[in-house]
Amino acid sequence: MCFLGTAIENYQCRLVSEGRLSYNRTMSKNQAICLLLTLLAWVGAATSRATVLWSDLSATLVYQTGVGSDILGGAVKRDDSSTDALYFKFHVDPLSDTSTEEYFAAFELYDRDEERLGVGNALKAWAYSAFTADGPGDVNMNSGYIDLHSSRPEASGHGSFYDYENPHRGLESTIVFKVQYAAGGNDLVTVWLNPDLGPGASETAQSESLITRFNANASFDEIHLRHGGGGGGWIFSDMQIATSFSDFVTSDSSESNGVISRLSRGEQPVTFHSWQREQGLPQNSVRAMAQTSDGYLWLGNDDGVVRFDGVRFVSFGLREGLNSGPVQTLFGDSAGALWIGTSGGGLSCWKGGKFTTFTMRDGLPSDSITALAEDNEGRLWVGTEAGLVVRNGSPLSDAGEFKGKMITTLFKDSTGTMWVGAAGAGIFHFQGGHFLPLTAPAIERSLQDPHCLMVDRKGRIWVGAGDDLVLCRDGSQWQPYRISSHQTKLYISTLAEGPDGTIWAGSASEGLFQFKDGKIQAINASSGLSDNLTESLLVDREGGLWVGTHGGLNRLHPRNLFAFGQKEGLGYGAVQSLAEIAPGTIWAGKTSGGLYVWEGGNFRHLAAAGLSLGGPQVNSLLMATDGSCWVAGAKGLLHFKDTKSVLDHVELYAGLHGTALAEDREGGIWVGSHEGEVWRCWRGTWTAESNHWHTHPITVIGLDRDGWMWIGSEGGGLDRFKGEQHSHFDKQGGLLSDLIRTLYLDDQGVVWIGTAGAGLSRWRDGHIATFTTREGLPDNTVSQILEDHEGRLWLGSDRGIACVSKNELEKLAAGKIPAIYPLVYGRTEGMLSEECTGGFSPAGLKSRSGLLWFTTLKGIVVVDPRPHIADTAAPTVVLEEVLLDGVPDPEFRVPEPTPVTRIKNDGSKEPASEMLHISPGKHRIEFRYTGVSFDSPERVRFRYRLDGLDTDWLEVGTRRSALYNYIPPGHYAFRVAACNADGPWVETGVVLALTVLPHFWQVWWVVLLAAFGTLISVAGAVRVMEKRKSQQRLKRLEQEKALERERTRIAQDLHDEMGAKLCRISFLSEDARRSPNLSAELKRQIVSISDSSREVLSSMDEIVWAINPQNDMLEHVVSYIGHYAREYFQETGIECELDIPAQSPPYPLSSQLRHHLLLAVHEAFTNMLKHSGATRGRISVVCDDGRLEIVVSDNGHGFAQSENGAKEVGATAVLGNGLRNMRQRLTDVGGDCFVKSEPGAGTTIRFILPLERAGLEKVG
Amino acid sequence: MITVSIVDDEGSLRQSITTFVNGSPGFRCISAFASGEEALEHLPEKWPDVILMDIHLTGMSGIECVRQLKAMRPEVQIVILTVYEDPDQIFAALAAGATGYMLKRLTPARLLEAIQEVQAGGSPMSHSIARKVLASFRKPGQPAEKSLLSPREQMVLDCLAKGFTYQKTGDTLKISLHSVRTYVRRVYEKLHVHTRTEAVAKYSRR
Repeated sequence: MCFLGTAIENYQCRLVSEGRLSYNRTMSKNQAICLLLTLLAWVGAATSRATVLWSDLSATLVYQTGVGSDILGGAVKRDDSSTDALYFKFHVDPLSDTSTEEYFAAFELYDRDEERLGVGNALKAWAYSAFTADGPGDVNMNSGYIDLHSSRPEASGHGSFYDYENPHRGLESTIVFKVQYAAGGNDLVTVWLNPDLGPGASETAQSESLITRFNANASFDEIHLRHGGGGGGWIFSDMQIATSFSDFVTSDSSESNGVISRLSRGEQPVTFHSWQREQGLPQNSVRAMAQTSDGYLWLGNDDGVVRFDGVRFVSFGLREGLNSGPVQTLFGDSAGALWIGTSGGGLSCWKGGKFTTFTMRDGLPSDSITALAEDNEGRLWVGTEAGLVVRNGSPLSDAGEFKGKMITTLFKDSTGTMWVGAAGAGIFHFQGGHFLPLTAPAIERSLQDPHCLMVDRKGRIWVGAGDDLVLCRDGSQWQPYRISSHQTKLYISTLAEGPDGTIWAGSASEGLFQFKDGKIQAINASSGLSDNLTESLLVDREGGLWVGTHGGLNRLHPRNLFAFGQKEGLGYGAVQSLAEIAPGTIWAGKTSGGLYVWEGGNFRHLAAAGLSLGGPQVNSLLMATDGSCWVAGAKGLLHFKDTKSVLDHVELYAGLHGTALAEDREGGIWVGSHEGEVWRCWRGTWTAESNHWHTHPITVIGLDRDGWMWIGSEGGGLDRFKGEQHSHFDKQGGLLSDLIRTLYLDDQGVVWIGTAGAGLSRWRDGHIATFTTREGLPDNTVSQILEDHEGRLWLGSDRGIACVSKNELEKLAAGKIPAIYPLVYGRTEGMLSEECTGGFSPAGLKSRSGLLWFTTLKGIVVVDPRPHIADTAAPTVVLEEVLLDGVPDPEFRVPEPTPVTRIKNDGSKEPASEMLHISPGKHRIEFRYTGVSFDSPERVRFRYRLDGLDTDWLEVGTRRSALYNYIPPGHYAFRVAACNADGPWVETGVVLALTVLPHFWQVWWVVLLAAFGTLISVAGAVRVMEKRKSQQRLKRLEQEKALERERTRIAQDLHDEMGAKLCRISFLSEDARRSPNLSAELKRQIVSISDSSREVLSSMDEIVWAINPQNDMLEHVVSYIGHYAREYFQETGIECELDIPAQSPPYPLSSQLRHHLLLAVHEAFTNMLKHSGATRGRISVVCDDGRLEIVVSDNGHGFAQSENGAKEVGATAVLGNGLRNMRQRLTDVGGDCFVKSEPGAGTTIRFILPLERAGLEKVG
Repeated sequence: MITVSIVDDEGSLRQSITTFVNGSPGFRCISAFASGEEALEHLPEKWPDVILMDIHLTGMSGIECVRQLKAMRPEVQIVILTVYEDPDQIFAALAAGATGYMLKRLTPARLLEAIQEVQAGGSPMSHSIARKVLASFRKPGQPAEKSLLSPREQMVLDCLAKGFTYQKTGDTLKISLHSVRTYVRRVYEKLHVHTRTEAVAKYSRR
């Protein structure tokens, strides 16, 4: 038993290949010299000031260029007298492929029209290569090329490689080369093919295997991009000339930013939420966007405008009076109106539910509106195709300067200055009553052709101009950025500034360009944008960037979930455990395939000594404070003292099946085993901690703040001990389950307990509180718990990862809130599997950079908790519509948002500003409201109250309408408020005062009463009482309606949730029954489990069916009775015949009626089955005019009846009760029940229900 | 040997059914998918004889999945497997091309029978589904002889809608049980075609 004695094979293995070591450690003479040179070069480079001398970050397709033309424009040159060093970088995406066609392509230095140095693919080389001008003539045609060394050399057969790489289509490469100029002689050229340019990379740290060096004359004053020969050409991009290597290295503004770029493997860490027709967008093309002061986002398309609240799109067009055609521009002014500029239909204004249109007849210079803006005085500036006008109040005043000119853009900057861009005229700002032009001689021509303009918060002016330019004026300096491409029609059509100062430029064919930290990044359809034709950009009040494209609406999201699966090198299957070996180096252990390592990019398999001995199954990994790593496998425990030489050296403790690892404060290592043992190793000595164990697998060991050691097991609950003290927690002690999956011991001394099937429990100061799906968790199995920097717990469950703040959980435990609304990440957010693995520890990993790593059944998911936007922006509540009997009330006007609390204090007498009068009579009134929020619209919740009828707020979750079936005459106020998932109820809500007018007789009744005599007054009193009674009943009905809704939801949830689980029991027991060597008794029990599970399902079906408001027609009932009878008598020995009309007339049946009828029929069935002794039964249904008749008859032994239809003494009391019940049920709903039976002649039970009355019941 | 595939997003249940099917002689579950998308991607690599399909899937619905699978491989038999009987949903699935349906709560042994039955060319049709089917064929104001159904099929359907069993339907119409099954299968096929053409007609009117 003691594994310290016999079972231990503690040996040190030295599984080393000497050859491998010497390969790495010795260095050839050549390499040593190169290294020295590099070092010298680096010293040289480091002294000069690092500057990017020239850059062109755009993508350019180069195809059959001939000699090509210069792209440098004299920005940089070097000649024979130069002695410094320059670094060149370019990125290529080859469309031509050397495996199918002969061609050349190159980034080539030219000196006074003479070729000097080309880097790319030389014609004869068929590989990434460089070529030089050794003599006169076309250097490319010479054989003087040099193959570039590569880290991904071309295979020449099985296991052998050439020392070059072919350019393959679809395989992009980045090439950096350095020229160290030597005066008068040949210059030294160093080329890196695909160097590491990630954060922290440096020239000296590049692998030798991708460096090529040679001498060449590299003087230049021009750069040509060239391609000739076959194929589709090469796309060059990201070209730069700089004075140091580090200029090309990705900046590392924060450590974890670097990790993100390593996580996303070079992709932009952003995604888009997109809406297209499938998602309800009325038209895919989004030409213009604006946000109005009520929060709505408005979209302009070819037919009109569309309003969006984050959930629902509503179109406004011709029908509402917008007579316009394609929308070109939209603007939401400070007074809350939406202005719509159309192409040919003039200018329209949407306010208070009405459109007003202005055209040339009202003084507009053209009916084609191109730009809109509002100045500080509240005047609307209207740019048209033929001039500019300013709307001051109602008259339009013409700005004569721009008569006949097309205004392309209008912009008011943060100082209130208005900017105007006009085609063919340039850019002007309006100051002191004059339009002052912007001038810049160098870029005069481009400035004449502006498409869009923006002044950012730093005061920089950004202009999209010409064919492919973004111009930026910072101070007095103009910086042109060329966004060229191989597409013909590319210009920047729209600009926007993000809340963090990022500038976004939308292009007409290449998607978005992001200007951030002096870098340009293209973001397009490959990042999830629905189309590359950008039409409009908008930053909403929550700071989100909206991109309107030709193919849909998009909202940008920072990407904060990264998945690693088979494609990312992790192999197939579940990942168990993780450890951060060094900052940014992660080990992952798998049940099926040993260890994997990640150092940025993809995972790779880690060959390590002893793994085969410890068993390839890795349960658990622990990075100890001494820098060593413990690996628990199924067959033994491995200890890598030096994680850098895992191939060489390992200690193996065989025979121990460790599942949980932990380290205590003294550096002792604790190991919990699958068999329930707990061991501690301290300074090489192992001790068994045998006080508290049991035989359940140990799943977790953890040390809390106060020095208690906590041990959780699968089935044995939770133990904690310190020295001799010990306590035990299990189902008897307040835990809901003894299956402990994981523990998280936080800094405040709180123990968070993840269980299998019983949710999350919190232990604090001896008290246990439990949170389950009932309280809002996505799942009841919690296998991994991590805490982020903001005090939020991230729970890895069987259904995704849930994030919930500890504060919320505390509030929930204290009963202050009824439920939590965690942020849940699942498959839609990019998880490959939603099921997080567990049953071992440590589980999950918070890396040193703050990223959260979760292991799942299919690989690993990494969450960056930082970009999560706290739901601080409160949703604006808007009451959109009031429907009277299903028809919008024309009198209704959208009320302004009002602070709810203020009005509440005023009492129920409402300010009469917005008062809705409802005509006399009974009306079904429906209020439709919404909460405008774009960050997480699906998590906005509502509550409402009708003052005068409801006594308290009604919390309705995410529902966006309130229905009242009857509101008696009187004064009311409808209030609705919203809140975010984790926010409080917002103070501002909306209030609508309404008056339901009485019938004239409802008012004059009392007068009449006084005028007429006593007789009439008595009759009147009766009438009043009836009236009151009916009003009370209607009120009760309304309450019942609300109750019914809730009941439906609960039953449905219950059904969906339990249905699948019960089915599973049924299948599992069926499978279990088949196992051999089962005793008959056990088999019987299993069968009974299986039967019971199905019975429960059937009963649940009945309940759900009866209360589901959808089943409210006669047809449903008839169909259900048939179906139910068939199921009920199946395999009972009673042959039951059905005779049911093939179709039934449309009568509505209320839920109550259905409930009673079905129970009565059920009762009749039970009687037949249990008491009649019948062998045959017959159920017939007849629905003739206004009458439903159900007859249940059998051929059983029957019973004698007394005259009044009650049972005789001889019959059983049970039977009698049953009959009474049936009769009572039918009478309750206005029907009848007749029982006919004679001893020996069977029983016939007839249920009769008048249908008209049932219909009225429903309508009332 | 009947090969079976399962599409069900409930992981544990999927696993249980797979185990159960594989433990039954004469049956083999060759693949199981958690979503319709996954099924559409991988099923064409290896088609089973019968596909068991849940209606409520995360992502694409089971009904849509049936439609697309049927379009890819008309001869594949699809049985809807659902937790509780919602005639509207089941009817939609049948119209999309499924040839039968099963409630998950029926005994596992019945599941195997249903698979066999469908494989052998039969189609189960319950009373409530028969009523739905009947209503879908009977258009208001249209004389019965204009119906797509043959008189025999119409009679079989009428009997089933009245609540008769297959056996009683056969007895009433004086035809064999086998014939009843064949008629039902034909009704299903017509239903499929019928709803498809109706969709086309609607579309072309736009």
